Amino acid sequence: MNRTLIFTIIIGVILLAGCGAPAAAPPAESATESVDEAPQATKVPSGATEPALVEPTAAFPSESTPTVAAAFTPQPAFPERRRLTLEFPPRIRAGDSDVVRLTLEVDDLGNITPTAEMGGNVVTGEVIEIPNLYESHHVIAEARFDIAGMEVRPPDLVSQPLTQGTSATFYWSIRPQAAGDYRGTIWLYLRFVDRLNGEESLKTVSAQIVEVEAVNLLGLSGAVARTTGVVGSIVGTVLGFPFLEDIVKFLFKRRRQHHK
Amino acid sequence: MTRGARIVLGMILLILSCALLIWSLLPARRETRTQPISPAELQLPTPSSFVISSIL
Repeated sequence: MNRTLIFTIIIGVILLAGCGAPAAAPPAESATESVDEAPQATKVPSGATEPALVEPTAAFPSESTPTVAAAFTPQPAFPERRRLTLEFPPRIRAGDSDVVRLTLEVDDLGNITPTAEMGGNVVTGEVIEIPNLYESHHVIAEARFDIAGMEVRPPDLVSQPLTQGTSATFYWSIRPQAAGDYRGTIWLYLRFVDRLNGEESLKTVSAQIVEVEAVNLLGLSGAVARTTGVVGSIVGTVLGFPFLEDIVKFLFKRRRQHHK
Repeated sequence: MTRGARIVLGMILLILSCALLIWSLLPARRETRTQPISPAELQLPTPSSFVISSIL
């Protein structure tokens, strides 16, 4: 009794598996048909329908594999490490000019982490791994200094080609006309130009906020203070000179003798 | 103007002028800032990179 029951169950399972297999097959076939479409169907003779449906399934991976492989092609990378250094005067005399310098330099020290000192505090940066694109692209570093109320030269975008192992340095001359706090942004972009097709792409690397305080002394700008200082020093020296009277008398006396 | 008053006035003027000169000729302090940039910010912005990220 038990053996008959077990045998019946096994046969039932086999039958169910046999019915389920063809039911699972059509989705795969329909998928291959949607990929290969008409060209494969036209090649198939009318009498052999089933082998013709199997062939496209073999063709599907061969066509789809190259597209996936192309997507995983590694991006070119820069072979050297670089770091970005900004140097500027946080305080400047009104009317005076100063220089702001931005450098995208090669990190020659390799793994050594770049450091900077800001107001006595030591700030530690990270080592930068820049993707290598020199072989396939022209790389151009572009920078601009945007600040309101202050004279900046050059005011426009400045470009410099970036080649392997070289640094790109940008200089701006700034001059505040009046005392006050000025806040601006220094932008750095990398422009990649494909060597083959000339296709351009722009990447914003950095946007650093720069605060410059323009100061004066008793309302005097730097140039006026210098002029006043020079004139005042001469006048003060002459007035305070202990033997001024004797010198003046000596000069007048000599002049009279010269006229006689 | 007496001799003493003139000398005092001259010395005051000289000190003030020297202070102005020192202030106006003092070199400005410079600040150096090194900005860390993540490698992702320096990647080439190509469509293929977006394909990779979407597939992964």
